[in-house]
Amino acid sequence: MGKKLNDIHSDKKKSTIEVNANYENTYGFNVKSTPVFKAQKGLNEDIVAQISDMKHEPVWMKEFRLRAYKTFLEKPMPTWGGDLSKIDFNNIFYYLKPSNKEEKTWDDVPSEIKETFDRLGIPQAEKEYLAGVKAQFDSEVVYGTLQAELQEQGVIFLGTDDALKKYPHFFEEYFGKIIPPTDNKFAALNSAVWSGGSFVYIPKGVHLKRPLQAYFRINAENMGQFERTLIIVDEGAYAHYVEGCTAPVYSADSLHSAVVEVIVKPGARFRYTTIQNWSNDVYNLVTKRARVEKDGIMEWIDGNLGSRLTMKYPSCFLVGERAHGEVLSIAYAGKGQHQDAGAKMIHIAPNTTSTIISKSVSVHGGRTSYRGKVQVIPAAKNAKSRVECDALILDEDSRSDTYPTMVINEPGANIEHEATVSKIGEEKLFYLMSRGLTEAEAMSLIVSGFIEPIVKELPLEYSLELNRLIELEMEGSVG
Amino acid sequence: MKTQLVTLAENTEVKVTEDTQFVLQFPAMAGEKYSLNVIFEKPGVSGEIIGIYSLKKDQSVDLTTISTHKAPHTTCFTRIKGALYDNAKSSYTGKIIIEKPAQQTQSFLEDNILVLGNETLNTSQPILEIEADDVKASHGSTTGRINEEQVYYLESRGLDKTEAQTLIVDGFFESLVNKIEDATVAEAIRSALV
Repeated sequence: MGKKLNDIHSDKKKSTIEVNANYENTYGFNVKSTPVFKAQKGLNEDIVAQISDMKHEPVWMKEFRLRAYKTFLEKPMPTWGGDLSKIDFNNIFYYLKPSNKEEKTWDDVPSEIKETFDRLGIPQAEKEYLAGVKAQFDSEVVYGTLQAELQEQGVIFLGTDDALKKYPHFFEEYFGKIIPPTDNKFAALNSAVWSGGSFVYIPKGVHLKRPLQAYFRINAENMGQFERTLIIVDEGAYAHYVEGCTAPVYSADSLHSAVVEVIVKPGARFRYTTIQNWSNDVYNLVTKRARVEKDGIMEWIDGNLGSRLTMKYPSCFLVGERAHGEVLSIAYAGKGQHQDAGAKMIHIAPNTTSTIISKSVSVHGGRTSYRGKVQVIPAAKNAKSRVECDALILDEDSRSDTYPTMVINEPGANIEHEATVSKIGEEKLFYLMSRGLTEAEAMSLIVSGFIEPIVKELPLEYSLELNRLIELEMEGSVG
Repeated sequence: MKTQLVTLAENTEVKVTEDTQFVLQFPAMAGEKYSLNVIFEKPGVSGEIIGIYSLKKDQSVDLTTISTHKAPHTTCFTRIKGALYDNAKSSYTGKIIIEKPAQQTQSFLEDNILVLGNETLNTSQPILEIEADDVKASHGSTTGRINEEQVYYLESRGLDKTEAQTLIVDGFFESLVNKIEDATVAEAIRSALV
């Protein structure tokens, strides 16, 4: 009986379509860009200094970059996680500048960049509705609008380079403090060559009703992107920041290594949503960390699709009493993809709480790994943490792993971890098909239901996009 | 199901040839590294790993269990329970490996640590490595302090604090000890826990 059902299952597998299989038709464009400056490939001290000079940065930032570059050289490559051996650091452009200054109005945006956005399907009306749109094209923010509403509230939402010039005091106080360059090799690399990214400051008590949005794009062959994002949410404030990516298809390997630092002040609440759909040649190696102070709440919502290899573990350092951290993570690994994603919760203060929910789907030889850490230090009395990881494997070529670590040094802590790995239940498929659904529709419905707890937390346009991707994948699995 | 007492060593390996319960026996509790790999090469066999330990003041243990499924239709339950008193250190890694040929395998792991003392350190690493798709695998891990309400309830019934704690810990262990099918082995484990 079981074997027979399995045969049905593997027949179905052969005909399913990859999420990104028709990526080339949908997003697979490569508009010719004409960078004003194009640095040479590879990296050395001179290039690092040159990047800093070209941006007219303060001396301390230049020194910071140079120190970070040394750290980058000294740090060994991580030996765990995915296969990083194919990354050739000498075959990457570390800095590109598409046009000389940040554009102020939509009309000033170069037409080829607009064309790219049209192909991405970002509606014109959306930018008026959204609180502020930052679009990253190549290495720098070229277009940014801020609604008057935001400015009135004293919210700062700028490209990081620009913010460094206008508000240096924030950078002196916080930049590189949450994630120091010595944290890991890729944080060091980012610290040395960072460019672009967003800077957000939400003043005390300000509640933003609409999410702040950023669109990221990679569009130069072998272009590594090293955005640096710094977000400060002041006391009692609330905001939601959304970033989404779709990258065009390139044959050569591309490296994306961002650093995101978030400071959640006492009583503040912040949500950071990411949906990443990199093309299948991108290495996505990102360090994201939040420092959460007393009564603060930090939520990471992290969707990882596409890319060749993603290694990303958003973390919360719960340093203030009653601070709460949350990570909701979805990973989807198709052909040739490895999603090594997870979360870290470090409980440093009493009565801190955290939740991690991870859902992963692997298909067509893809591999998903959950890698997480929950740590409770002795002072964190009554800390509570709950971790839930569920994995779906859709065919026999795929693989799923779970690598959680719990280090509990406080006797009064309460820690729970749960993980399951399974395939789509044949009886569920059979039930839905007996109600008249095709096999493809049934599978798509079950997968949608599986990731629903996370999708429902996404802004509408993102949840629609995600559901559409799943339908696309199941499409044509009939016959 | 047959019951087999396994005296732990640094690299213990057993192959499951018939349905067997493997009950762990800890030679010492002074930070030794123990590892048991239970290998399923014969289709259709079931296994169970039962590990129960009580770490008294200053005791420590570093335990790894692996259930390696190489053949189809194999089943494994791993159940670990530990109690930690003052300054006890427990490190447990529980691995489930399901290799590609091991379709229709079911493997589950549960690890519960009850904290009674102060300045304890517990590290738990439940790991899943799944390469076959038609399987069911899961793990659950909890670390928590003894329930003060339960202690209070028993105290209100006339028990003193130590008696109340002992009763709760006994209950915590007993739910697993009574899964041991061989009465002699079960009795040996009970007496080792006191």
